[in-house]
Amino acid sequence: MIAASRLFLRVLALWRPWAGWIALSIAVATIATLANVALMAVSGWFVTAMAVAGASGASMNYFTPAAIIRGLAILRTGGRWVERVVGHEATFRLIAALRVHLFERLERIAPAGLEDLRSGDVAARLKGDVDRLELMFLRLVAPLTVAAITTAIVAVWAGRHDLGFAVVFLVAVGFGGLLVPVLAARRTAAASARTAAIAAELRARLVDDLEGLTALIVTDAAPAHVAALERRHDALVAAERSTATASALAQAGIGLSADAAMIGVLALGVPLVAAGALAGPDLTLVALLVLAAFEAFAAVPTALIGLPATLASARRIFETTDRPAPVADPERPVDPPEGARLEIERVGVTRPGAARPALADLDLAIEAGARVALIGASGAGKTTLLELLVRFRDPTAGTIRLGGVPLTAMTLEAVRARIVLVGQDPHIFSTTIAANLRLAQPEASDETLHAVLADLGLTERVEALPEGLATPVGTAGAKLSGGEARRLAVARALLGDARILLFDEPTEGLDPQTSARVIDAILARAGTRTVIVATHLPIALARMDAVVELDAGRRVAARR
Amino acid sequence: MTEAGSLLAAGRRETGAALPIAILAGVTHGLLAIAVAWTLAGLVDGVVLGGEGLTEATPRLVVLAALAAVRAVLVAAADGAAFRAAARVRRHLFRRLLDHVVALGPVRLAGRPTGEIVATLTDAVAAVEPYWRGWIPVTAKVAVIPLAVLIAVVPFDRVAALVFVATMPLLPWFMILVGRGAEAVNRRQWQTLARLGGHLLDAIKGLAELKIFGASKREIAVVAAMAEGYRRDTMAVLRIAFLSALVLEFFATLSIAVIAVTVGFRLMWGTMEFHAGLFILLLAPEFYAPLRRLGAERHARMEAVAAAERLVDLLDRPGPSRPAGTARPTFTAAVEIRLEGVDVTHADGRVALFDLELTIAPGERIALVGPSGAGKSTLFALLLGLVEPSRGRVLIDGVDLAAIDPAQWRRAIAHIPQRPHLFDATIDDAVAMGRAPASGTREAAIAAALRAAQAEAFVARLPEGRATRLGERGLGLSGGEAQRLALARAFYAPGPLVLFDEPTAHLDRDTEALVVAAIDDLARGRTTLTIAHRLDTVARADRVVVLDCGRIVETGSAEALRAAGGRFAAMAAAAERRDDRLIGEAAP
Repeated sequence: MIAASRLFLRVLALWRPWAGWIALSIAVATIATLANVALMAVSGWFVTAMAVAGASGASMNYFTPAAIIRGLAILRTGGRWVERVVGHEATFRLIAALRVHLFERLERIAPAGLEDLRSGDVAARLKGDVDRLELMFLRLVAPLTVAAITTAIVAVWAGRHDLGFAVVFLVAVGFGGLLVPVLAARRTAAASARTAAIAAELRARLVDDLEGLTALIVTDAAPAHVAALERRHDALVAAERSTATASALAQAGIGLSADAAMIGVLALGVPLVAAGALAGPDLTLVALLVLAAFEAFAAVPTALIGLPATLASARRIFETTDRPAPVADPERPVDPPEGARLEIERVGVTRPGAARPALADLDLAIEAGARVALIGASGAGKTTLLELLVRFRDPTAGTIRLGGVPLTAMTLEAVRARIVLVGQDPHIFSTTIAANLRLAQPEASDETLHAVLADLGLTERVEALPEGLATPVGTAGAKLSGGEARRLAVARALLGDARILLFDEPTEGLDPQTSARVIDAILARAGTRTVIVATHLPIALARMDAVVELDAGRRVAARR
Repeated sequence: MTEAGSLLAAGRRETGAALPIAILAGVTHGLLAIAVAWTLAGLVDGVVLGGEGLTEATPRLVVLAALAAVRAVLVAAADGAAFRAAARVRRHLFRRLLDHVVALGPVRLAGRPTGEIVATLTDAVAAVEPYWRGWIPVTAKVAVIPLAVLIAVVPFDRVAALVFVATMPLLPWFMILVGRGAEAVNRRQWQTLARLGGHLLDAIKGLAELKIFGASKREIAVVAAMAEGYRRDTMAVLRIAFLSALVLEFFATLSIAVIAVTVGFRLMWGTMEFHAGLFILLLAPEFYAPLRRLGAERHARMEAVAAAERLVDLLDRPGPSRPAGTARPTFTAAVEIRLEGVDVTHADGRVALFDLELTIAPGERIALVGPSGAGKSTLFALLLGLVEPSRGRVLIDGVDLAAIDPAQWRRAIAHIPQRPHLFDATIDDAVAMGRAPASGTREAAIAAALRAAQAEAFVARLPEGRATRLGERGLGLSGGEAQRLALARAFYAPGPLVLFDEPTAHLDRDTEALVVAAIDDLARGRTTLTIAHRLDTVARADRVVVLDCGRIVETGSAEALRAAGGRFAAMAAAAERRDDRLIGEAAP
């Protein structure tokens, strides 16, 4: 666990280049807040002073206060707008800095170090964490700083009339602006941890039950499971309720403190006015000043209550970015070999904390240009083996050689320039179809792209898109199905120059005709290159030189 | 009103007494501000102009303190009640969605990623909260408080009342602005932010691909450029969007300034009481306070509507076209199944089965054969009651399946899927699935089922035996082990119909022999349908039914079909030529 203060310092360090924007944003916000506070106080003073003048028949210079009121009104209105614009400008700059930092760090450890991000849940959590950290300045740092500065200025102003006023004000601020929100935040921190745990459990249960929905319905276990899910959802709401109560109490505390500060000022000020030690209009001024000053605290409970969650997000993000890189370049890389024969020697992989190895004692040699099918149930180790070959991870035992040279002796770049993998759930970027394809071959012409798409049976699909190859993926009409995304990823890999092509279940979810077409395209375009396909498709097995079968991380049988 | 809007509005029925309490407490809190202003103005008037001392002022100080306490309680009570109102709506929506998901079943849900449904059930349901907790209470305040302030001001000062009335048209105008214009601008702004968030996540999710193609370092600069570009675009939009808030600020501030100055002069001229003058000045901000809150809550409403759209999207998926049957015949002996001209058409118009005519005699062993997509799985889904025929009938011992209570019928089925799902539960729970055993105690029945499924030995080797928790997706079990647990599940409470989806993946030879022996055992004396992938399995069947493109193309014994030289013969020959003895596709 990283200490909260160190987390804060790390975030501040990321913000350092934009210190000027941060200072400007806080300054503008403070001015707008003070203009608002002063507007009420000066107006109250003015009204009282005019009443006193009217009653006593004395003359009064009303031009200056009236001008000040007008000035404050303009300052408040304009100030709020400038405050928002500058605050958001600053935030966006901070966001950019944070994103680049995050991406640089994650790039080192991906993909094996980020394996848990494959699950949508963890990815969504990361997005939530990044969002929260991105708004940390706008929602947390800025309101707290502005409240602190406002407090100091108002205390000095009130204290100039009588020191007692400042004391009353500061006590009220200490209670409603600090003590109550901090207590609420503390109570919330415990509750949020419980809420997060229950929410995670509810999600996990939902995933489990949805994936096993057939079994639930067939065995008539659905009503019992639905009831159990409802109970968990109720528990989640109940846990959230204590957070809600804390925040409601904190809001009530702010209002109560504001009123108490005003009442305290009156109780102190009335005898002073009666004794002639304080001018009547000044009583109105100070009373309204301390009352209005609490407007600066409106966002404080939310900020303080949100602090533990923001720190938890920061902690999770930094703990992710601090993960060790799963693979590294060797200190003295060996020149990549000419040959493309793959030798897998007594290779084993055991994940930390796993009861069984993901792969054990695997021996396999694959000649350059061979076509190999990899079969076995899910969890058998096929994906792990393919990931070892592109060095997304390294084996915990044994060696893999390419053309006689251990993979770990070459640079990562050299390995991946020679061996390319299309994963089970390949990522298609939210750019155009063409940009997705050119990732593998930046110079490829449109004709080349069309040709490979035709081989994979995607021509009609792409021609139906509003802008053809230039259509951004994911926009209306261009939401690709899982099968289409997989085929696009296969096309992308086939465009490259790698000598060894790895495919993890390239035909899953495709109908038989399309599956056959994809396998044909892979084999035709591979030419003399090595092809290794993890698949269950009988038609694919038939066209391979060899079939390697894995079960629970071990090799079961090889045919032919 | 949009569908999402009516879904949100329908939630009011569920809120019970909590919502009126929330609204009442909130509105009362706002109204008490008028009392506070009156008391405070009276106190200052007495002290400054009336020469009163602390003794005379004390009653008013006490009233102020009492009002402060009551208002603090009301703030807390209003939010607590609003939370309860929202919680009731959330609870109702969660239940409704869950029931709908179960009613849809796995077949009608196919094509929806699990993660998406989970997000709808959790995030989208939770996102409805701010609508009930924030938006609705504030709209109630907007409707009541400015009017009440106006009524309080009119008897004392026509000028101030005129200022309020002059800005009153702003009220509906601002409501419309909030409802339409600002929402559109705001939505664009949030979409942009979401897209920016999306790009980073897109790049992170695609890091594997970026690395494979040596582009991951290059992407760092892209991330920076994206963020910078979005900053420029978004700020251009935001500068305008913030103007709508500026308008409200402007009117509120201007009113305070105008009232302060006009009241001040009339006080000096002696045409107004100081008590009334200060009272009006103190009320001026209260007139605009609810409107400012409304501006702050509009984002909450917008997100709630977006979330409700996702809920509607799921709830709109059509479920079964007719109500479940109620007949509860008992099925003890092997059943007879008759399909009469059955079509199955999916919601998207895909025809999965077409004009199926098939009679399966009690105790018959059928092997279903055909390429993937032929309709084998749909036939199983049909028999399991997960889809219903769009035409024709399914008769079980002569009774229409549509008339039979689905739970009663499913108790008659032992279903062993190809990739059985094992819940995060103990081995015992995985076998029993909450059902009562067919005979004897639960303990004994589970033990017997594990023995019959040839699973006893490997379960005994697990760290805690039958009490071992399987973890997510039955992690750590081999394909053969998972298969045998599914078999044990079937043996635990076996019905007279066995539906077995043979795994395509190879099991090791010993495991395969164990599974085959167990299945043979289970099939004895029962009607059995097997989706067969192996020639050996087909050979053991009484009859082979060959499906393709949703139709039965051939049916007969394996020998007869091979002799006939049709589709099955081609598939079998291809399997033998490949020497994998896996039957599925004909040779290309």
